[in-house]
Amino acid sequence: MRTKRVKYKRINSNFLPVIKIKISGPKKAKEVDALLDTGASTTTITPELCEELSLEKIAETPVVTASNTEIVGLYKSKIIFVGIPFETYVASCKIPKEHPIRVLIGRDLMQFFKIVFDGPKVTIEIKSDLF
Amino acid sequence: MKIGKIEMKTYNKSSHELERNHLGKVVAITDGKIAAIGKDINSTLKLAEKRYPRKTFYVRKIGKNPEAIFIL
Repeated sequence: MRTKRVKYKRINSNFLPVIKIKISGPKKAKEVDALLDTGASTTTITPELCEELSLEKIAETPVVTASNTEIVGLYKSKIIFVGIPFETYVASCKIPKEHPIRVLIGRDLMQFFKIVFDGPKVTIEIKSDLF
Repeated sequence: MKIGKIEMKTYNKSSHELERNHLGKVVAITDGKIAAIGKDINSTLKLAEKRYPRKTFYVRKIGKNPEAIFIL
C-alpha cells in the first residue's frame, strides 16, 4: 500500500484538510480546492460550480444538513482525486459565499482510501493500493 | 423535475414490500416506476440510468426517513 502526504492548506488564517482535485462535466473541467469532509456522506459542490461545468442533473433527493432538510439535485461528474479518476454523482448544495471552498469530498470517495488526519503535523496521509 | 405526488405515491404504494425486503437501501423512482434499488446512491443511479436513459429520478432511502445524504 502506498502513501501520499499533503499538508493542510492555510485559508483565511485557518489550516484546512484541503486537496486539489479536477472536476469535469461534458464540456469543461476545472481544478479546485476540495475539503475532505467526513461529515458529508456524498461529495457536494456549489450550484454555481455545477452551472459553470454544465453538469447534467440526474436526480433529486432529500438531504439532511446541519441546519435543515432540503431537496437537492444530483449531478453526473468526473472527479480526479489524488490522481485517481471517479465517475460519480455529486450533490448540489449552497456553501456560504464567505467560505472559499466550493467542493466537499464526501465519504463516497474517501471510502476507497485509508486517510489519517494528522493534526499535530497539519498533514493528511492518504493510503491506497490504487496509487 | 420537481419531486411530485407521483413519486411519493409510487413509493407509498410499494413501501410495505420495499421496507420488508430492502430496508436501508436506496431506491430510484421515475414516471411512477421503481427504476432501481441499490446499496448506495452511486450504484442505484448507475443502474437506473442504464435502464431508463435520459430520465430524471427521485432518489430516497428505503425506510421511515427518506434522506440518503447527510452533510453535517
